[in-house]
Amino acid sequence: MSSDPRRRAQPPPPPPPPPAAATPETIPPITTLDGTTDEREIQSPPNGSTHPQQQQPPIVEPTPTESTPYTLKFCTVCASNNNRSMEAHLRLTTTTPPYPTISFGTGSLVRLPGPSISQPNVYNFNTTSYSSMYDELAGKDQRLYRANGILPMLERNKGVKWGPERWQDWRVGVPRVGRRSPAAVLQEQEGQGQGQGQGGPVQYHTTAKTEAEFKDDAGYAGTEAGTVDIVITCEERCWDAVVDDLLTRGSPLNRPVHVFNVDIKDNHEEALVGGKAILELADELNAAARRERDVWVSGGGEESGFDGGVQGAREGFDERVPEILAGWQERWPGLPALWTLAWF
Amino acid sequence: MAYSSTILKSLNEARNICLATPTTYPQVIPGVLPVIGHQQHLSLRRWGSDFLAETFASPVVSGEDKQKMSLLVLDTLKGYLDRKTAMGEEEDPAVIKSAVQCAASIYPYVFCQTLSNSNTTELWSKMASIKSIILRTMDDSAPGVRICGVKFISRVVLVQTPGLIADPRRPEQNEISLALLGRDHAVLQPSQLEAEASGLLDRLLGVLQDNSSEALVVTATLNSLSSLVHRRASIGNKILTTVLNFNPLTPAKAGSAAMGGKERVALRSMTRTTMSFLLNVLKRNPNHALAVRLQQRTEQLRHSLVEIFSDSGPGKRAAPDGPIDGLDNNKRMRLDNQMANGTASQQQHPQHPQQNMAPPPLPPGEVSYRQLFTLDPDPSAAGFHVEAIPLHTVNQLVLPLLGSIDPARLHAAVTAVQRRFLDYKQRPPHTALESARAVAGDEDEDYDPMAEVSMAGDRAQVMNRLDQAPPQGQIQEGPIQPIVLEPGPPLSEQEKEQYGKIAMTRVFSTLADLDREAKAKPGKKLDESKGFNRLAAAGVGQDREGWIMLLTRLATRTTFSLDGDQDIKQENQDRSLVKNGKAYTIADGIRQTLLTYVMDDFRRRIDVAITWLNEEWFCDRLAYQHQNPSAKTKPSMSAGDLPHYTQYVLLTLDTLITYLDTKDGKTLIRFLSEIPEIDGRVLDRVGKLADDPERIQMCSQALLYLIMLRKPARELAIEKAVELWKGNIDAKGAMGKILTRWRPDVLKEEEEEKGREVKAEA
Repeated sequence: MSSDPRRRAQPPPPPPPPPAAATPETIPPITTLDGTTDEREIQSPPNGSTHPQQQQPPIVEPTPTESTPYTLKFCTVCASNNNRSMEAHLRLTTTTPPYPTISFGTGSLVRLPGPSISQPNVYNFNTTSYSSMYDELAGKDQRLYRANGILPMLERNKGVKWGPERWQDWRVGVPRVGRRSPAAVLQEQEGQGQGQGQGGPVQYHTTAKTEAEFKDDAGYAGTEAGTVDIVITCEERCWDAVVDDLLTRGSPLNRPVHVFNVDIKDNHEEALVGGKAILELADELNAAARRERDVWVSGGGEESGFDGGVQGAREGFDERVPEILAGWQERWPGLPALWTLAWF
Repeated sequence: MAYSSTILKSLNEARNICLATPTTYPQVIPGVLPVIGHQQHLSLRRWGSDFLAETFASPVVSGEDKQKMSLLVLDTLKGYLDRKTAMGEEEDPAVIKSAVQCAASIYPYVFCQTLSNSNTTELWSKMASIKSIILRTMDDSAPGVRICGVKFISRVVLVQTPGLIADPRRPEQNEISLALLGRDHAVLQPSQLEAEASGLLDRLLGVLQDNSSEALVVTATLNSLSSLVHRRASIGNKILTTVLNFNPLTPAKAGSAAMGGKERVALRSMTRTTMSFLLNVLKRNPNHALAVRLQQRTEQLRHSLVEIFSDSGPGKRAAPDGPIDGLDNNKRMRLDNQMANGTASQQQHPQHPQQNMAPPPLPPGEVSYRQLFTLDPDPSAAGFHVEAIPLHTVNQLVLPLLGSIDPARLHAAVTAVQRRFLDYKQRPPHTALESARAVAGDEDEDYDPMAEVSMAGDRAQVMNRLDQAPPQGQIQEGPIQPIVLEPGPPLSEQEKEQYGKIAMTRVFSTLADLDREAKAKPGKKLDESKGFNRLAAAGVGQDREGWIMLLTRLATRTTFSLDGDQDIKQENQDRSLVKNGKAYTIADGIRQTLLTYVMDDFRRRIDVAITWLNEEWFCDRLAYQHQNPSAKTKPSMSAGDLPHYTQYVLLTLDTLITYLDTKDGKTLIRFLSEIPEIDGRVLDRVGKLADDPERIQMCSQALLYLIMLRKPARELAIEKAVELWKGNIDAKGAMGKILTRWRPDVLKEEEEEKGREVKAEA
C-alpha cells in the first residue's frame, strides 16, 4: 500500500473507545495544528461521531443504582459455531466485566476442514462437544490438525462452552439453567453421534463431560433467561439465515433484538481481527445502552422530577444504533456491516 | 437505596427459582407485584417491568398460567405506562419499553379471558385503557419505545383479525383471534374490533407508505409485519402490496456520495430487511399470487443496492472539491499504476451519470436506432426493460424526472445524438456487395459450387456483377442498401380465397376472445399488449370497437379500393352475381360472417349491425357518385342506387325478425332508428311482424316511433299503418290508436262507410 508522508502525521487509528459513549451532538474544536488539520477534517465522518477527543467520557461514572452495572446481552453467530463466533464469544467474555454471551451456528452441520477439501469432518450440532471433536481429530492426525489450527481452535472452544449449538434449534426464551438438554448429553455419552468424518462414522469418545451445565459456559451470567439484546453474525449468509428464521418464528416474544452482521473471512487470522472489532462494537453499544439508563437517573428522571435532563439524554439507545454502527464502520472499513431490528 | 438493593437481591433469587422451575411463576408473580409497582423505586420498577415482560414472553410458561397471571398484572402495567398522570412525572423509557412488550404479550390472553367470561367488562376496559395509552403516547416517545409500540400494534392487529379455525372441536388448540368471537358477545363487538385493527394496520403501514428513512422504525415494522402476512390471509395482500411499493432507497436519490455513514447504514439495513421480508414470504409460499412480483422486487432491490454501493466502499466520504484527491491512497494507487504503465486506464467505469462523459462513438457497420440513441455506455442501463416498472410508478416518476432534467445536459445529449447521426450519414455507403452477401450467405466461408449454380437466375447475375465490382477493401461502414425481395408467384384464385378465409377466421376469433374477456371482467380494460391486437392498435384502437370498425371497413371498402377505378362499375355489375353465390369475394365473406356474428347475440350486438350497415350505405353512396359524377339527385334506396346497403339491410332485417320475441321491441326500434335509410321494403318486413298476434304490439310501437321521430319515413310508416289497419283484423286496434292521431280521416271514412252500410241495411 502506498503511503503518504502527510498521512503518517495523522494520529493512529482511534483506540478502542472507553466504555462511556461519545457525545456526537457536539463537534469539538480542532485542537491540533500540526499540519494535519485539513486531513482531519476529511477524516471526520459527516456526523462526526467518533473522535478520540470526544470519547473522553463527559458522563460521570454510572451511579450504582442497580447492584451490577447494566450490560447488554450478546449472541454471536457464524456458520459452524466454531471459529468466528467462538472467537467473538471468547472476546466478549474475557473483557471486564464479561458480557453475557451465547453463540450459535446457522449451518446444517458442523463442518471442519479435513485432510482435503472434499473430505471435511462433519458433526452434528447440539449433540457433539468440542472436546469430543478435539479428541477425535487428535486421534486421527494430530500433526495435520495442529498445523492447520483446528486443534488449537477446539482447545480454545472447549474453554468457552460445551459444544456447538445450532441457531435454528435454539428455543428463544427457554431458560438456560441447569443442564443442557438431557437428550444432547445422553446422545453424547452413548457415542451415538451421526456425524461423519472422512466418509466413515465418527467414533465419539465417551469422555464427554457428564455435567454439561449451562453455567459452565463463558459469559453465562445474564443469559439465564435465554434471550439476548444483540445478535452479531459473522457472515452475510448467516445474517440472512438469522433474519429469515426470526421472521419465520413469528416473533412470539415481542422482544426487540438488534441483529448485526460483521463480515469476517473464515480463517483464524481474520477471526482474531473480527473478534476485536466485535468487542469494540459491543463496547460502544453497551456504553450507549448504559448511558441511556444512567442519564435518565442523573438527568432528572427519578430523583429530581424536573424535566431538566441533559441534552441528548432523550436520545435513547435504539435509535443511536445506526449512528454507532456507522462510526464503527469508519474505523473498520474492511468488515462490511449490516443491521436490522428484528423481534424474538 | 440500600433497601431497594436488598429487595433486588431477593427478587433476583425469586427469578432464578422461576427460571429453574417455570411452574412457580403463578406463585411468584402475586408476591412480587406489590414490590415493583409504579410507586416504587426506579431500579425496582425496571426490574419489575423486565421481569413481567420476560414472564409473559417465556415459552415455558403455559398459556393457561399466562392467562391467569395476565389478570393480575394489568394494574401494574397501567401504573408504569400512566405514571405521568398518576405521579406527575415521566416514566423511564426502559420501564416503558418492557411494559409495552409485556402488554403485547398479554393482549391475546386478556382478549381470550374476556371472550370466555362475558362479565369481564372491567378487565377489558383496563386492557383497552392500556392500549389507548400506548397508542396515544408512542409516536411522541423515544424511538426505542416507539418500536415496541409498533410490535404491540401488530399483536393487536393479529388478535383482532379473524384467523384460521384449525379444528372447531378443539377450541383450546386454536390460535387466539377474532374468529373465536361470537356475534353477540356482551363486551366485545367483532365489527368494532376489526375496524380498529384495520385502522391500526394502516397506522403501521403508514411508516412504509411515507418512505420513512428512520431505519429503526422501518426495520422494526417490517420485521413485525411478517407474522401478520403469514397468519392472516385477509390482510396479507394489503401488507405485501405496501411493502412492494415501499422504496427504502429513497434517500439515495441524491446519490450515494451525498450520504453520511449513518444514512448508508440505514439505507442498507432497510433495503436488506425489505429483501429478507419478501424472500421470507416467497420461501414460505412459493406459489403465492404475488410470487413473481416478490421475486422481481427482490432482484430490483439487490441490483439497486449493488449499484449504489458499488462505486464506493462502505464509509467512503463525499467527494471533496479540493485537490486532496491525490492523497487518497486508493486513487494514488491508481495514478501510480497509470504512470507506471504509461497508458491511460482502460477500465474507467462511468459510474457517475453526472459526469460529462462524451458519448462513445457509434460502432462501425450497421447501426440500429437503439445504438444511435444510447448515450450511456453502461450495458445494465441498456439492458433494463422499462416495462418492468409498473405503470403508475412510471407516471409518478416521469413528471419529476422531466422537471429535473438539466437543460444543459439535455442539450448536450441532443447535440451528441445529432452529431452521431450526421457522422453516420457521412459514412461511405455500405457496399452493395456486402449487402448482397449478407442476404445470399457468405460464399467465402463455405464455398459450394452447386449452390452457385442453383441460385435463382437473376440473383446469381447480381452476384456475378458484384464480384466484378472493384474491391472495397476492408471498409465495412455505411448503411445497407434497401433490399427488395423478389415478389412471390401470384396467388391463384383458389389460394386467395383460402387465405382470405383464414385471415377472416383469425380476425373473428380475436373478436370472440375480446367478447369473452369483456364478459369475464366487465368494466375492466382488456389486456392491451396481446400480440395480434397490436396490429389494430395502429389505426383504430385495439378494443372490440376497433376491430368492428376494421371489419366493417374491410367488408365495405376493400373491393372498392383494391379493384381500382375502372373496376367499380364491374363490381357493381357483379353484385347480382354475388347474390347468386357464383363468385366468392372476401368482402362478402366478411359480410356473411358479420351477419352471423350479430345474429349469434343480436340483443347485444345490434350496434355492430348498425355500424356495418351505415358503412355500407356510405360506401354505396360514394360508389354511386363515382359512377355518376353528373347525377344531380341523391342516390336513394328505393331507386336501387344503393345495392349493397339494400341487400344487406333487408337480409339483416329478415334474419332479425325471425328471432325477435315480444320483449325485443327496443332492439327493433333501435335498429330501425339508426340505420341510415328506410324504404317500403323495410316497412314491409316490419309490417309482417303484425301477422303474429303476439308481436303486433312491437310492430305498432316501431311504426309509431318511425312516425313520430323519423320524419323522412313518416309517410311511408303511416301508409303501412293504414294498410295494416285495413288488412289485418288483429292489428286493427293497435293501428287505430296510431291513426286517430296521424290519419283521423281514414278512420272517419271507415266510420262513414260503416254508417252507410248500417243505413243501407236499415
